[in-house]
Amino acid sequence: MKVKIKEWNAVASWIWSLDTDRCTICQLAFEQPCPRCKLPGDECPPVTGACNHHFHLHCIVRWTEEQDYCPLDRQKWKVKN
Amino acid sequence: MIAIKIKKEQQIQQNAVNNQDITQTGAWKRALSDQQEFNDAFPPDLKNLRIYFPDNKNILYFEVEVRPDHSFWAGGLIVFTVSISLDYPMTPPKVLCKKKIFHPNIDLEGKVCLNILREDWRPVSSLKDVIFGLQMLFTQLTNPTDPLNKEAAELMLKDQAQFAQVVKSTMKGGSYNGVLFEKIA
Repeated sequence: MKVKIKEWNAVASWIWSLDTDRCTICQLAFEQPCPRCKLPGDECPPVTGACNHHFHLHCIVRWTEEQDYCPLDRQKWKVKN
Repeated sequence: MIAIKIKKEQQIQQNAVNNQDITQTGAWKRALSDQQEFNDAFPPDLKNLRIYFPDNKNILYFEVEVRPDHSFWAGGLIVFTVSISLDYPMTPPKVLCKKKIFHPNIDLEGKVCLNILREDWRPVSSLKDVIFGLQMLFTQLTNPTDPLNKEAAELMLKDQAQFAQVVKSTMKGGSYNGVLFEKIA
């Protein structure tokens, strides 16, 4: 049997490569944007601290305006290089 | 006095709810996820604890009813109002005790001293933690060494038997040192 392809659509999916699936501040998945953003992706990325905890960049930046420690372990918040 | 404060909080909430985009705010989404979490943690048939939404369209304002047992306040029904600001979870929810009560960590205006509502609040804390905390305020977390009601704290430290008696009589609507309490038992 011969098949003639008339048309094809490529579909791709993506996820962030992290060991947790959601931001513990806003409780939304990292594949979703933080509550203040409309679109997920590079505009609203997760960020990892020196303590290996992940948060949406915008969520943790907003928190560091209040306090300078990681909300999960209370160590001074520093972004992992 | 307490009633006015609660009304004001409710009004602020109401205005926010009338704002059409409220369900898209981070506070609303987070409160919704917290609600699911505490529904799992506190089944609705618990006899010592009830959570009640006066306006079921507004998840940012609710009441917590605690009925302590094995405690000085056993037999009483203590109601707290919890209101969540649009800044939640960056700031803790505001909690007030609805009726005047004789307790070292609750003042006569209904303000509540609970670590998680102040210095120990973190944006990963949730409403479940707050509700647990309110419940424990009548057991493990009763703390006369860090009081909001100094009179109650001093009496509790000095004479537990008399303290127990004053708690009992004030819960029945009695008065103590010229202050009239509301009936909650």
